[in-house]
Amino acid sequence: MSVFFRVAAVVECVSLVALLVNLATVHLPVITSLGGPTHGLAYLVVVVVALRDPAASRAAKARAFVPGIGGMLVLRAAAPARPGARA
Amino acid sequence: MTKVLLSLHVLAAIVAVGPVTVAASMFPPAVRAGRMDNLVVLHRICRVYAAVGIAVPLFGFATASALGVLGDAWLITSIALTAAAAAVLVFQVLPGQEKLLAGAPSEGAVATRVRTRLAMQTGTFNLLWATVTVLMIVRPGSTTGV
Repeated sequence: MSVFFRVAAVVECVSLVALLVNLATVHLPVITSLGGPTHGLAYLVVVVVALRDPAASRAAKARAFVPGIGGMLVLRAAAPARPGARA
Repeated sequence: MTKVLLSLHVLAAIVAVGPVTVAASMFPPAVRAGRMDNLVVLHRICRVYAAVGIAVPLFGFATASALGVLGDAWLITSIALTAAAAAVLVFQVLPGQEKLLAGAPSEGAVATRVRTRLAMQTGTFNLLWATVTVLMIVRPGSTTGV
């Protein structure tokens, strides 16, 4: 997967955490108005890039649609198994 | 804060969408001229600046939500047209360019058809985003005065 996709996947996940933490604590309006579109567009990028990738399997394309962590799921499934990692 | 967001939105639109418009429009004539080296650069500009262009709706939504105009008809129309323009770019123009770069024949009826279709799709993209630009300036029915 490209660097572009990796960045989008991380932004998708981190921005959602930031939005929820903001909602539960200080609730600054600027974080809501910037974080909302950031998260939404990162989600769209993850979905569109996965759909356009000819190397992506049907399962990877379906995973990309999962809200919040879809990009991470695609990256995790695409990562080669690390030596010594527990199955 | 609203003024900062709006400035970033306009700046992103000029810096990101401008190059895509020009490079995408130059692509079909370069195919006809058989300038392979130019094609690679033009396609790269389109692809990279399309990615940078994500900043435009990002700051756009942020500005709109800060201004409280997300429900306005002119804005909803603009959002729909922008989504259509993005879809044309990502699902038609960029794949069309990739197909021609991947060594589609440069002569004959097939090449002409692929190139003509790409030129039409590029024109559609340009028309859509020009319409959005006009909507953003005229803002029919808006009362914010920003």
